[in-house]
Amino acid sequence: MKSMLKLCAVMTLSVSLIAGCSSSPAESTTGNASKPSPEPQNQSITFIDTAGGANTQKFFSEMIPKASSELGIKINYVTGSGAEIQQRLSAQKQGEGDIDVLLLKPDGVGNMIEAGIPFETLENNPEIPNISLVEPSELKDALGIATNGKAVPFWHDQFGILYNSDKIKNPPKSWDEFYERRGEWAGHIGMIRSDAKSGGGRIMQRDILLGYGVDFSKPFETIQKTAEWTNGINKFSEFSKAFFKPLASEPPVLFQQFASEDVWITEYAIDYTLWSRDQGLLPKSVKSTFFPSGHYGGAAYLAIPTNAPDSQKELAAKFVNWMLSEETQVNMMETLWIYMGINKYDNVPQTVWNNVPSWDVVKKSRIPLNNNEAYTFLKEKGMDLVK
Amino acid sequence: MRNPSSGFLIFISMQFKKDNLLTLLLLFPGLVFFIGLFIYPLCITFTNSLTISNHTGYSLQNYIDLLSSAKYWNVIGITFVLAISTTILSVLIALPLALILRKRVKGHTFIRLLILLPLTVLALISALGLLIVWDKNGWVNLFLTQVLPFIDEPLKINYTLYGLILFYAWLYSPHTILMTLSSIEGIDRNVEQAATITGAKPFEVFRYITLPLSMSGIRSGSVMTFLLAFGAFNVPLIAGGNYRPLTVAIYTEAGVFNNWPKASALAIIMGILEIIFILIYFKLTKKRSAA
Repeated sequence: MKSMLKLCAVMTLSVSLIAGCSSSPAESTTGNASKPSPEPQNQSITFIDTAGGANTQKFFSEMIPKASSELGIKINYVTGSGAEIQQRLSAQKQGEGDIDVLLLKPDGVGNMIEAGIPFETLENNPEIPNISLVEPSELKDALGIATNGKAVPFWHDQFGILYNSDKIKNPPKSWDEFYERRGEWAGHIGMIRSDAKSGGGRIMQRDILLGYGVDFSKPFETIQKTAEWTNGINKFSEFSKAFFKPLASEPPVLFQQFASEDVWITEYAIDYTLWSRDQGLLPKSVKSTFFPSGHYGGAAYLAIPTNAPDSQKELAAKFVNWMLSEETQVNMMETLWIYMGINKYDNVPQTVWNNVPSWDVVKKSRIPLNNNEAYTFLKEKGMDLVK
Repeated sequence: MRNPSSGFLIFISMQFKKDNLLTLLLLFPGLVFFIGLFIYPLCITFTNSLTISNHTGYSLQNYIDLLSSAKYWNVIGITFVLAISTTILSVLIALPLALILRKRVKGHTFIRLLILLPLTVLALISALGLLIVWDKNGWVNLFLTQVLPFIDEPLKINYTLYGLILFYAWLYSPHTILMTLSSIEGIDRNVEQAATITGAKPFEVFRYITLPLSMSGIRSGSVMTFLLAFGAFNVPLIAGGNYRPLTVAIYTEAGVFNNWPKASALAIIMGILEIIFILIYFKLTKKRSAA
């Protein structure tokens, strides 16, 4: 009995000791964005990616060692969510920040700037000469969010029409033509559910309505009263009768439907789809095209938090410059089929243009998600419109 | 002079206190885990379920909305159909398989390993794999349409209700199989032989000896399968098509619509339904095994 009691007491003490020694929740970081343990090397930076997916993360895991060896800086590549990083940054004091370079989506940039998180002005930074390759207007705002030179585009991701060229020799050139010819591909038009975690289905619905003339720059209340809205909704419902059912619950299911040739044509992220094709997840014959009415266009931006120590900021700027170099950007486009952050497409090989529409065509009609209310409506009611 | 009976009482009460303390100490780590990882989150979920999305106080509104919606009754119905069908199917697979395997037929070790296979693969991977295997151009359909002369059309399994039950059974029946097998292997063969010697036919031996004696294993295995099927998430999300059970509805409410109060109310409803069903099931199977 006594030994049992002793054993229990020792166990309880050990557990308490372990619990006491572990860091408090406030000190620890959550998710996969925790700061890696400091390296013994002097020159090391932490680069946090809040914008990437499986494709870009794989790309970074191959690219970062190259950057490390060329720059002589150890680069800790970590992934995390925008909201979580925002929490961390807002708690850090000047000179004590532990995040040196950030990759953010436009809304992430906007939220952080709005929350008063300070970022370095990258425009005119002597350590980043490659910034001259970026379209000047893109240094002023991130898809409608004023950045004033504090964020620089690293890539432009783009939705477009993806189709199996073995099944569709002559793809449609507009939503109207797609609608008119829907009978040719009845039961083979793919879409992700609009109530999925992925926004792909909602974006497709939004882009279809856009193609039928709905003006999303107006307030949603006004939009709903327009004839274009009523016509667009009716046409969408009619169009959806030709969709492959059930709709894909998430992107991997859409890809599986493509692979099994249930789906021949859809609208989705060009880069992710073509990258998945290269990974053998989709038929080799999958290609992309673009409608002049436009498709959703997103981007990812690089930024340097001001709270990092000054010595770190210099290294961070060198890394940003490396990321904006023509070699890195062309390599990214060749690997990921994602449009570059810099505006220098002369040296992009022809093979890329055989797969994706030219930037000149795309950039004219890239449409960001600029109407939150309409987007929420599609999220909540979008599935009711599918017949 | 001290009363011997009072001394005995003091000894008993001291012993009782000592035992209580020891019990408490032994229970302590388990209790901490149970309270910290189950009771506390459950309380948070329950409190959350009573709030409304704009956080203007507490009410039963989420429950009223959910229980008065035909859509959610349909979701509850699908969840039960999937879980119950999977459980029945898993028992139907488990019993004959266990009866064969107890005889140590040739290759029984390999079959036992095969049974364990679904447990070693992540549900998400399994779901995607099953979609590929059962696809119209998948291995199963290729075999059926190209090898068997009397089948022209590929079987439509993916995104159907019976297809989903099949996927569930593949993933969750190993629990029923293993527990049934272990309880059947634990039956004293002499009892069955005695019944045979006294004139019982093989079916009667099975009906009156083997089945009742293996009931505990079948019951615990099927409960395990039922609970896993009731709480399955990855498989219906990926391979369920329009058949979206409670777990997927909770995920959609929380993860897509960011409506945590409604998702919490759904989770509480799910938990209550699960407990009620298990209690009924235990009561029914207990009665049967007692009979």
